[in-house]
Amino acid sequence: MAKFNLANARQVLAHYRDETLPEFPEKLTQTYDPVLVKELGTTIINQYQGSISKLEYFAIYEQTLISHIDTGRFQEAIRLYDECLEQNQTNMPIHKRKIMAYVSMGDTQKAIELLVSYLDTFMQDTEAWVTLGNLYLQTNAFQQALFCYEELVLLRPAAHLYLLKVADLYCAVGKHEIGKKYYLGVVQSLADCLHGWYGVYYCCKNLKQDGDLFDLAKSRILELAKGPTIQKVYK
Amino acid sequence: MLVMILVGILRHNGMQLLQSPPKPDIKQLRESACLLRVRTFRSLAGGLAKQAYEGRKEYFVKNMHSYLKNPNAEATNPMADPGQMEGTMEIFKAMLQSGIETQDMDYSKLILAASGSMDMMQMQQMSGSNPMAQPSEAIKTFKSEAEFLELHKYVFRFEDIEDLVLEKYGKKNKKMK
Repeated sequence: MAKFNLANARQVLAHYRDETLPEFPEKLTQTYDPVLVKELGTTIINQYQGSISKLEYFAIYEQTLISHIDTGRFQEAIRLYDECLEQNQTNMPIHKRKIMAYVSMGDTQKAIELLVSYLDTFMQDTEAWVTLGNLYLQTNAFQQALFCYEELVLLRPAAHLYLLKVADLYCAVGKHEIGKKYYLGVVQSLADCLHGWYGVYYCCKNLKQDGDLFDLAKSRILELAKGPTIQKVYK
Repeated sequence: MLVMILVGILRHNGMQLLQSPPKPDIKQLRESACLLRVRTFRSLAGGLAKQAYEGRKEYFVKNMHSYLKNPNAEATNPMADPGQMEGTMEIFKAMLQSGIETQDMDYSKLILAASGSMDMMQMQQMSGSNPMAQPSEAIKTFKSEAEFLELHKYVFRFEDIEDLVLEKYGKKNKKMK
């Protein structure tokens, strides 16, 4: 077991806080790793309080608290969030943290409930709509998930991802005619979108339409399948 | 002259320090968000399928009118929305409680239950007290929005998409490659 390296640890924690340091020590993951932060943070707090400035100590303390929350102390976290929300109902990040705490605990129903009431006010929040859509998909509530993604289409009309998702969901509930239209909307602007072309092909098949559109979709798919991107994936 | 300006600034800062920051008002926030949502809906509704459009429009109009009648009414919980909502909700709650896999569920039943009714995601609640500086202005804006919405004409963005795509990729009979 390597001896605890204080300078190293401080740098790692500062990196996670700040993300503007040019290089990070050893091999650090780009994404936030609460377990690592918790380990390093707790050691520093317990043993090295004297060797760092008060300001940094406070920052590390806060960071460690959050990492403890992120690694499993959800009930306490929720209590904290509730206190915070009592003082300020419009604190968006805290609302979202509370919701994600329930998701991490596996209480999807409660998370959905809270997310619904959050979106009642903060209806511009695309991230929240995406999360709710995914939660509904987890519980197989396709109609509700469809609603969420349609809201996203209203919020980001040019975003192909949401159009494709809406198309997929219309197909999932059996409305292939509508799904086909959305897929066509996507391939109109994205000529190389395999997902879109396959969607057109699939819908035509389901609707038993084998006219020009079906042939076009089929030929596009075969063309794209020979292309370098797909070949790389299936090498 | 300069002294007067400085005194003015000093007084302004002093007053700022003495006054506590205004408590962020969630109802106010929600109201303005709702208004924005209705406006965006009007301009981007072409992205929705007919049924989705009609459902939302009906919902918005109904709620805007009830808000205009009674601006200080308490927000109704979307979960407790009476009528069509409950049907869908109850189906779902029962299923989730008994742990039945919804994959086994008859999708047509789901569509029947949900079609024409608002999903629990319809969050348009016009309510709450109106602490705006000019409440009459706000009412006027709501009123005009409601009217515009009622008169709005639906055109599906992808109505003629088949022809457009065929033309683009040169497969339409008129335009040979």
